Parts: sequence; C-alpha cells; structure tokens
Amino acid sequence: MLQLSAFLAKESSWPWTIANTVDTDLISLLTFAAVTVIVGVVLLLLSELLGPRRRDPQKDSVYECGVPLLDDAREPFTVKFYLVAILFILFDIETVFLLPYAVVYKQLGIVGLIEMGAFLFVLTGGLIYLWTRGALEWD
Amino acid sequence: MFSLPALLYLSAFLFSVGTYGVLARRNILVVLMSLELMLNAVNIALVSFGRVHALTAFAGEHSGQIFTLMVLAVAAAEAAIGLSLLLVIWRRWNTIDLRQLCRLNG
Amino acid sequence: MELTISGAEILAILPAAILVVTGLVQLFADLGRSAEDKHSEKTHLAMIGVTGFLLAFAALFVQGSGASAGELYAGAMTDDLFGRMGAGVVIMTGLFSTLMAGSYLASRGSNSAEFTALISFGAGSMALLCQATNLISIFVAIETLSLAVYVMAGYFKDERAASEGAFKYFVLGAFSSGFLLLGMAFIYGATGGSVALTDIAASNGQQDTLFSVGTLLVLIGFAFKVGAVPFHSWVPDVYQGAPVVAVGWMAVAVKASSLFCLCRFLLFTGGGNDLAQLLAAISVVTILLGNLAALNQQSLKRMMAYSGIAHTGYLLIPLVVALSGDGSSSAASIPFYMFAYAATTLAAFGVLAAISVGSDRDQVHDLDGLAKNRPLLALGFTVALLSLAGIPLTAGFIGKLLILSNAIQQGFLLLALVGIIGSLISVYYYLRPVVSMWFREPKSSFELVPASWGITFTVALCGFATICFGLFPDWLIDLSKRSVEAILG
Repeated sequence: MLQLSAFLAKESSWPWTIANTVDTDLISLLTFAAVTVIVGVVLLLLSELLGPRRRDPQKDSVYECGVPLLDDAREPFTVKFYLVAILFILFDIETVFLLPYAVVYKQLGIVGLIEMGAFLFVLTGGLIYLWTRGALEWD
Repeated sequence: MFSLPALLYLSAFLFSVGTYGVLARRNILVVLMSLELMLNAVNIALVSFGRVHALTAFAGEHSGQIFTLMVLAVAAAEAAIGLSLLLVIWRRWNTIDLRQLCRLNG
Repeated sequence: MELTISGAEILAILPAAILVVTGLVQLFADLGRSAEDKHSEKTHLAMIGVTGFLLAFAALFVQGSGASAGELYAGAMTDDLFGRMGAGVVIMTGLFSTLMAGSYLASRGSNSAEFTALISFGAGSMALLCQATNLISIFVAIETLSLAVYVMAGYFKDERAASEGAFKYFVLGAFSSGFLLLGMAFIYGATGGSVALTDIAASNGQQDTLFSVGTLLVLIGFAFKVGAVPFHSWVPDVYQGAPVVAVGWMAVAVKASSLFCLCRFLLFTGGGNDLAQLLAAISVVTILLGNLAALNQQSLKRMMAYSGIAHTGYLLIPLVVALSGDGSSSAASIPFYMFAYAATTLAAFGVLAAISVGSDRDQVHDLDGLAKNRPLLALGFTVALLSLAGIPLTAGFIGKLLILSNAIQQGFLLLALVGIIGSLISVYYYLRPVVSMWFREPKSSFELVPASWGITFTVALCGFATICFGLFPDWLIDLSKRSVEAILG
C-alpha cells in the first residue's frame, strides 16, 4: 500500500493536475449553481420547520377537487416502448465511433473509409434485419 | 483543479456504489443501472489516466480515451441484452424482483 | 498520418471476418420463413454454417508473413501459432455445435436462425480473443463473446430455469467484466499508459502495487469466465437451464478461448510468485470442489457442469507452473488439453442432445439401457466419459498425463497429488452413466426417435478424435509446444 500512496502522491513532481484545462469562467457558473441549490434547500427546510401542520382526511386525500383517482400513476409502460428504447440505445451509441472518425477522416484516407464502411455495413445489416423481422412495427 | 488522485477516488467511490447496488438491491432495473455505473466508474479512471499519460510519458498517446469509447459501446450492448432479458422475465412472470425470481426455481 | 493495412493484418482477421459474415448470411437466409416452420430442421442454415466454419478453418492454414506479436493493428492483434490453435478449437467446436443445433432446436419447436448466427458471431469474437494482444482488444472480444452466450443461455425463453439461469449469468458476467475492466484500467495507469501486452511486459510499472491489484482484478474476471472456484456458482444453474447444444458450446468454446487469452496474458505480464501461489490455491480448491460436488448429481447437465469446473482446475496447474519461474514451456499442455477436452465434451453433449427430444432429458436414469437401443450413441458417450475420467488410450488421459508430469518435474508435488486424487474421485461419477447405459434394462418412458445425422456425425467423429488423440498424440503435442514457444519468442 505504501507504493500505492506514493503513486498517488506523485502529483507534485508530475504535471498531473488537470487544472489548466478548466476555464476560470466556470467558477462563476459553479457559484451560480451552488447558490441556486442552497437557496432551494434552505427554503424547503424553512417551510418544513416553521410551517403549521394540521392534518385531516380531506387534506390527505390526493386531490381536493376533481374526479376520484382510477389507478396508480406509476403504471408500467407498454412493452413496445422498451423495445424501441433498447434499439435506440444500441444504434445511438454506435455514433460514438463515427464522431472521432469525422474529425480525422481526411488523414485516415481510403483505408479508414473502408474500415468505417465495414463497421457501418454490419450495423446496417442489423438494422435491416430488425426492420424485416418487424421489430420497428408499432402495432 | 482536479488532480489524478481525486479523480481516482471519485472513480473508486462510484465503482463501490455500483458494486453495492449489484449485490444488495433486489430490483432488476436497479441492478442493471448499478452494472452500468461500475463500467462508467472505470471509464472515469481510464480517461483520467489517459489524460495524465498523454501529458507526460507518450506524447499523443490516447489509448485511455479510445478504451473509453470502446467501453461505452460495449456497455450499451450489455444494457440492451440486460433489458431484453428483463423484458422476457417481466412478460412471463410479471416480476422484476430478483428474490422472487430465484424463488420460482423451487 | 495515412492509415494503412497490410496483407498480414487482413490474413490475421480473416477467420473471424469469415465467421461474422457467415452469421449475417445465416440471419438473412432465414428471414422469410422463420414464422411458419419452427419444427423443420432447416438444413440450409447448417449448410451455410458448415461452409463458413470450414472456410474459416482453412483460413487458419494460410500463412501470413510471419509477423511477430504486437506487430499487427498497432499491437492490438497477433497472428501466431498459439492464437491459431485457439481459433482452431473454437472453429471446430462451432462447426459441430451448428451441426447439432438444427435438429435439436427443431425438436423443441424454437428453430430460428438466430441460434446458429449467435454461434457464428460468438466464434468470430472468440477467434479474435485468442489472437488479441492488447487490453482493448481483449476486453472487446471477451465482452462480445459473452453477450452472444448470454442470449444463447436464455434461448428457451418460456422456461423458468432458462430465463433465471441466463439472467444470473448475465448479472454475474457483467459484474465480473466490471472487475476485469477496473483491473485493466489499473494496469494501464500503473504502466504509464501502455495497453499492448508487449509494452506492459517491457514497462517498469510492474513493481507498483497498483499493477499487482490490477492483475489480480483481471484474474478475477477471467476466473469467472472459465468457472474457477470462488466464481463458479453460476455454472450449474446456467448449464441446467440452457439448451443442451448451447451448453456444449459454452463449456468448450468459452472456456478454451478465455484460457488461451489468460495464458497469453499471464505469460506476458508475469505476475510473480504471489500470483502463482494464489493461482495454485484456486486450482486446488477448484479441482476438489468440482469433483466432490459432481459426485452427488442426478442431473447429467449439472454433473457436466461440476466436471467442467474440475477440468478448469486441472487447466490452471500448467499456468501455475509456467508462472513460477523456469517452467514456462509447461503451458504447452494447455492447447493439447483444450483439443482433447473439446472432442470429448462435444461427444458427450451430442449424446445428451440426442436423448433430449421434446424436452431436455438429463437424468442419469434416462440413459438406462441406451446401449441396447442406440449402441453407437452409447459407445460415443462411454468413450467421452472415460476420456473425461482420464482412463488410458483416450485423449483425456494424455492431457492429464502431460499436465501432471510437468507439475511433478517442476517440483509441484502437492498440486500433482491433488490432481491425481481429483481424477480418482471423478472415476466414480463418470462411470455411473456408463453402468446405467450398458448394464440396466431400458425402462425409459419416452420413445427414442432416431438421432439426426448431424448429432450422429458429431458423436462419431468426436469420439473417434478422442481415441485418435489418445493413441497418436505426438503431432498435437509437438504443435502445442511450438505454439507456446512462438509466444515466448
């Protein structure tokens, strides 16, 4: 463990701090965020501590006016949403490889294009398969 | 502003939260989220190591960042598989409670 | 910086690329018809699969320009004999699993192309795993193959045990991947930003505690994949719920590719004496627990699961010997043992698939009198079980002999002794099914439909190979030795 702590403590001799990348303008943003959070928390706490509390069944019911509730609001969503969500995750995250490629596609030349093409070929294969199997049909 | 140890501690903390979630929670969805949290905690460690090493040892070496991109893609695929298994279990037995699922086995 | 790709690089990924394309072709070949005919065998899928696997196998023999480790894809992959042998085990296993899958799934009424396609995709990533030489490619390959196997484990989604086993497998698998990845991050940090195994071996970060912790975490991740003891609890549950063919595929291919990769990883990073002692402890506990737990199993699948755990223990012995100093060449018994184990296990699971018509039958008494009804199947199963037990004239015997004699030569007497005791225990539970096949009257209540050609062919060929490796092991041992020398350079 000694070595580990020595490893972690090496920051002084190494330029390991990442401070130079963080813009000092962000300080004001952080202050703003902190103030917002603090004010909100303080207000909530105050009303919790100082406010009078008189309970009666009328007040504890969900709505004081309107129609009575039919059901719990936290129903599970239809399965279709999950299927679409799962497919979305998959195809959404694959752009993670397209973004770096877009930055350097000129330097990578024709071989890079072919490799990206192979990647997209497999990806499109999956999409076409889904489509033909009817995974994208809503009904 | 952020030193490497601080980032590593953050990563270790998140990883521990994820580990705890996988081991202790019984809701399958929470378990899946904890698994993602574990992978993403490691991502933080990878990116910070990568940043540090890019500044020092190997100039222009970015394997940490590349590793993170790969892990992201893998994590997405893993989430998709996990959610589909969850769907199968939910459709068939109407439960996403791990203990109930294990009790089914009898 | 113009990106270039050399001929050697294309050759290196050729087997994997062929397998991935095979999987895609299988998916699309089945598109129009999957709805109506769930009970037909779909020979065209098996044909596509067999063609793909044979092509990939042929591609293994196309020699590249002899590029050494760490040269291809900026150090991400290599194309040495060791990787090719691993890919060879995986491809042969995939070939036989594909042959068995069609009729087995048809008898269960859930025959769609996804199963065979998953075998092909998984085989592709396993071939890559055997050739991977940097942390990134190892991680991506191991995850890809795991994802394919999770789905296969839960393929019968209307069965409780299948879904539960698959989910347990998934959660524990993803959990162990987290540890594997954390270990890789630590190694990456401790070695000053190197991901390639050669750079890690050359770096001066090896003395760092962070590096040791990282190696330990990576070891945990691999221990889960191969089913070594502290992380073995998923194996019986998953094996019980999963389709028989998927179990055979998992038992052989996942274990083989993970062990090939672990072997390469440990030979490069070293890890020192402490790690070797830890591995030795894991190996001892794995052998004993696997064999003892298998004694009392009535379900053949669970018995095979525990027997697989025990065999993982035997396979860790050469790693221990290789890690602790001058015995690195003892790792040569791993490729041979994997080939022997693959042939043996596939023959055994072929018989299990043959008797599982309609629903999975895996009780020992389901085998009663099988020798009278189906002598060929019974013969194949007997050969497989004898080989697993390590009876002479079989491949399993030679494999164990190599491992144990190496351990004794290098002075690991205790390990060798535990291995021998484990094998002695195992004879009891391996012979129980043999007795019930040959010496009991058939009383099974189900009609044994004739086994399909794919299953018969697999059992016959794998049983034959088991005997062949047992009688003429020299060429394979020689090949294994040369492959390990190729890594060590």
